Amino acid sequence: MFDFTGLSDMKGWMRAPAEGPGAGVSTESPGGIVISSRVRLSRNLAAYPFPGRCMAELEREYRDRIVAAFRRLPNPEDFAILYLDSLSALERRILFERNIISQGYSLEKQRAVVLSSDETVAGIIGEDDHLRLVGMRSGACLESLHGRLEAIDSRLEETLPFAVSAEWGYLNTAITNLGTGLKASMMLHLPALGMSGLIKRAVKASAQLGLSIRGFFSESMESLGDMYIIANEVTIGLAEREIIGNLGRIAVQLAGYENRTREELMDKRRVDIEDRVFRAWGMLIWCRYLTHREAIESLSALRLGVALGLLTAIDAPTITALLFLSQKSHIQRVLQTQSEAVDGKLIDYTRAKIIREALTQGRGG
Amino acid sequence: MTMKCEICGMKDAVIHIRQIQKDLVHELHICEECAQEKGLIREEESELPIANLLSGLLEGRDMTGASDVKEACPRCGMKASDFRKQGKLGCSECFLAFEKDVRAIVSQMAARPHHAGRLPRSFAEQAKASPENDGLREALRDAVEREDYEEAARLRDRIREMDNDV
Repeated sequence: MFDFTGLSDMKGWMRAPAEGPGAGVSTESPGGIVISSRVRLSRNLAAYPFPGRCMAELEREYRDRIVAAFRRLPNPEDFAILYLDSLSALERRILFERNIISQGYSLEKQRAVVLSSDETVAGIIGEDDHLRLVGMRSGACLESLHGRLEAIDSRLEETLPFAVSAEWGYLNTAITNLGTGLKASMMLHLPALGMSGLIKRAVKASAQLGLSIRGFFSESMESLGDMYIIANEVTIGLAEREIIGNLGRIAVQLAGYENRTREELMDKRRVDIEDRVFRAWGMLIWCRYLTHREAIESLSALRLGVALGLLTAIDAPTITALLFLSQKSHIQRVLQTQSEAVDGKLIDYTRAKIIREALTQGRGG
Repeated sequence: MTMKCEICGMKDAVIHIRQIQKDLVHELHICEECAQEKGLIREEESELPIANLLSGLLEGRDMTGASDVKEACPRCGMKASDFRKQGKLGCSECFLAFEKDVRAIVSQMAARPHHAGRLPRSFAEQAKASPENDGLREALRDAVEREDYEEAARLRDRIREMDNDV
């Protein structure tokens, strides 16, 4: 079972794709702009109504068929089956905070999630679709993630008759998800565009190119910590490779835009940037209470500092891991408390402590 | 004696659902809260924002011939009106039941409204060998003769997909 408590637990996720199975292209992009990549394939079994329109006993039946298909993979020991009913509320929320399942799904009954031992591939059973294969990892690695999912998908299809048609491809619950059933997304760190106010233009341009773009830590356009998710909107009419290629190209363009803006800011407003980075460092090293919002914003500033060479005591993957570990349920896990009524001050104190220890660890005292 | 909810086992069952599927009859007796939670009752405000988008897409289109769109999916009971509101289908047969609507929405949504990606190997092989392919070619010749180039392009793409896939 997964520990979900410390940096070591995030190792698989943080590992460069080249080290793992399905090794492929780059990991941390130049400037650390691409924080993480995610690919999702939606599949449904032809024999059952879609989730939400399926009676409880049938839900159990298709769930067990999908689980059985995973067990027949050539390396079944690589996958753990997590039955949501047997997880605590806290563990479910942790899966949600990890971006593995949605909040609504975390409350459902009779659901199961198949999770690879390195936590980079998950099979979500009975969310909007019978099966959603999800691959995620830090850095820019859409292609290798998709390659890995495709390999699993083509094994699963040998025993799972998926609902398909020649005209519309994979038949999925949402009509916006027809065809390939492929949603690819990347989390981008765009602080310079945020500082210079150019982000609005970038958002508009991306939308015109048929992508969705939203803030990661908020639903609105104003994003905490300048972290944005870009994703493909259209899933039909394009081959998987085209969808991923288009998204990758736009990510490269946005990254180029961000990098040029960083250079300009370093020329014209160097002290402003230094102040932002070192102020955040000082706060994270010394403060005793840290809210989640403060954590996100300060970690974002550190990430920028690392990318610009202002900070060398820490690396970008550690900062990424801390973004996840500083969320409330993760901290409750460390505190071994399930109670919703847990003292907010205690959470903030523990958050400050976890981050402080992670930041000072690598510095030799 | 009143029946208890089969989900929570606590409250009285006030909603009774019978689902008939081929020879099987499923019955479910549940309370209002559980029905709400399972999404069997929907409050108006909980509709997805996509509803407006989809009904917008459907409004503008030519409704002639829309009479052969079914009111509900014969297999899962999904209503055409709910599908239009939510943009969600209930099962794989909904795609046949609401074929025209689906085609209209997809062609507005995507520049190329036909699948161009991977298909399961067994399905792709079967499709290639199927007589449907010959039927499509015939339909294509007809469409060209009628100078219905939109339909012709659609059929051409479909044949191409079947020939090239996987």
